[in-house]
Amino acid sequence: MKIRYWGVRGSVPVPGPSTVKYGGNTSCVSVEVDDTVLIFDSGTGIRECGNYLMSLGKKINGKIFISHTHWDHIQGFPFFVPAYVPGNTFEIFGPPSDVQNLSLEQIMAMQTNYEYFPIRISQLGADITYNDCREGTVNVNGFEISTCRLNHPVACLAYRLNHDGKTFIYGGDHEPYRNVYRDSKEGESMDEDFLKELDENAYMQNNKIAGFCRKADIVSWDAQYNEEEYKSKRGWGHSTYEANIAMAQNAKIKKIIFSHHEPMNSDEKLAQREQQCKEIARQKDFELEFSREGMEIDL
Amino acid sequence: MPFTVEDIDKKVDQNIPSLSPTAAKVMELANDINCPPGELTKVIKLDPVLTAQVLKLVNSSYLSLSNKIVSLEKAIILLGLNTIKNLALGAAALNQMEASSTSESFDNNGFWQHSLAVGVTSKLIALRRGVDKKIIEDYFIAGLLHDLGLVLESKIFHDEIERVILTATEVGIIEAEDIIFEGLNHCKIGAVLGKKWNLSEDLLNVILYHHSPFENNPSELTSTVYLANSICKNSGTGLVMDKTPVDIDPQIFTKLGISNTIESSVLESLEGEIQKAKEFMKA
Repeated sequence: MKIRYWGVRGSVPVPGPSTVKYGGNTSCVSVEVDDTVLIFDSGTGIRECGNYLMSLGKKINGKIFISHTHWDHIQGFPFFVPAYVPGNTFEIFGPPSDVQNLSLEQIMAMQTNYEYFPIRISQLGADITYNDCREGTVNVNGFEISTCRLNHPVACLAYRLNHDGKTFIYGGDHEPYRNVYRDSKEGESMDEDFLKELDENAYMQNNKIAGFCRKADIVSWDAQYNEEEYKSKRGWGHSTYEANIAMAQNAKIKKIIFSHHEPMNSDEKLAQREQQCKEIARQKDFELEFSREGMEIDL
Repeated sequence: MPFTVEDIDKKVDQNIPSLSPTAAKVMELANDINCPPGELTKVIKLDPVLTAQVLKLVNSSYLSLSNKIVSLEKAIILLGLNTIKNLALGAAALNQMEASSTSESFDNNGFWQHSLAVGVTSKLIALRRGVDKKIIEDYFIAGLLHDLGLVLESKIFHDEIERVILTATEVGIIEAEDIIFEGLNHCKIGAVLGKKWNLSEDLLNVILYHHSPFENNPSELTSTVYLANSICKNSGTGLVMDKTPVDIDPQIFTKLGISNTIESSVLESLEGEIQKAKEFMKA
């Protein structure tokens, strides 16, 4: 399989001279296997992905997997040219909103409401179908894809793709689970046994995620912050380099790719951090890389 | 006119608002970006609809847990504080938009007080019985949710509910529902909703059998909620639709291994607990 990164930035697109090396577009990764193209997330990076697919001059039968429906993961879709071309077909998978009782299709359609965009999603020329996805396994054109729910302020999934003995995991946004009552004012009045039970719940959930990633060849994962930055961003739904390094080691991941870079971080800062993280990973015997727009990996 | 469980099944997908007495406090807390998790848990625990919706979300997200009752503290860890906040805000906002959709004859405030009273009383009974502290909160949640069906009933049967209320004062709620709906009652309606929302089997049994404590080999949880409901009705705490006192079956005391004097001792604590809840919502 051929993996290509089209958008690697978290939260908001950040074009400009300080983001040339790693890139400023929001999340999008494609995986090509034979004649099938699988696309993970449709942040602004999907625009360039679409232009690439159009340049191949063939009908496109694509599968799009949305990790979650926050803007930085869907905002490029209205600019994905292949979706406008009759004859192309796309199956879109992703989590519905159990909080607001909305299907994936309803949520995707909302971003092209008349007040926001001139073309309705229903007017797109390609044949597009939507599938609400929760935890489980789906078979798509002979590909087995399992999903795992992540910890983010909206329903969010990681996708595990197994093909030909190789495993690629695309994680959406994720903050490691923690006991929010521990070391808090409310926790002071709680029974220690109950606090321990809540600690165990958080531990159990983190172990579940590590189990999902276990022994994968490549795991592409949210690494928006370092521990220092995270201190003021607790509860925002993102992970740290340090937590991910621990998970990679615990889950015996062969290669972890840190992505969803914090928009405030420049090329210079990211390059420095990448070197530091790579050195730690080398000592712990796994591979590590920061994602960059245009990066290609053969697996 | 006869109504069936199937009629209800078709209508339970609609969004159900939180209760009006709690909505304002929910809006205030959930809109506060720095709202401590403990405060949010506290206000959700005062609203049966919100509590049920959080359990629904946990159970639909983590299917392996669906056979257990999950505490709200645990739900916050599993689903994240922001998700719970959004859920609470959605239900509270719906309450403000749909205030007119529930029948005027349905006493929202009284219903809220009764639900809370049965939750508190169930927990007090469980504490007196020395139930394992790990499952004490299950008793509160079960008591809080036992009448969930009434919320949906008053929403779907906007016109009929008035006749149910009038008739109940003469013959009791179950008999009144039987006369008006010919076979349907708030227990069955609540069970349909609970099943659709993936509530645990234990909770479904409480919702379904809290008026018939010897049907279907009831659990200690169901028996406790039956007793708590009877105590609250007889003491006139919150909304009491039927004016005739409930004749508590003495076998319940034997089954739960407690004396019938428990009634007076829990009532002493109950009043203070309800008062605390009211003060919290005004604060």
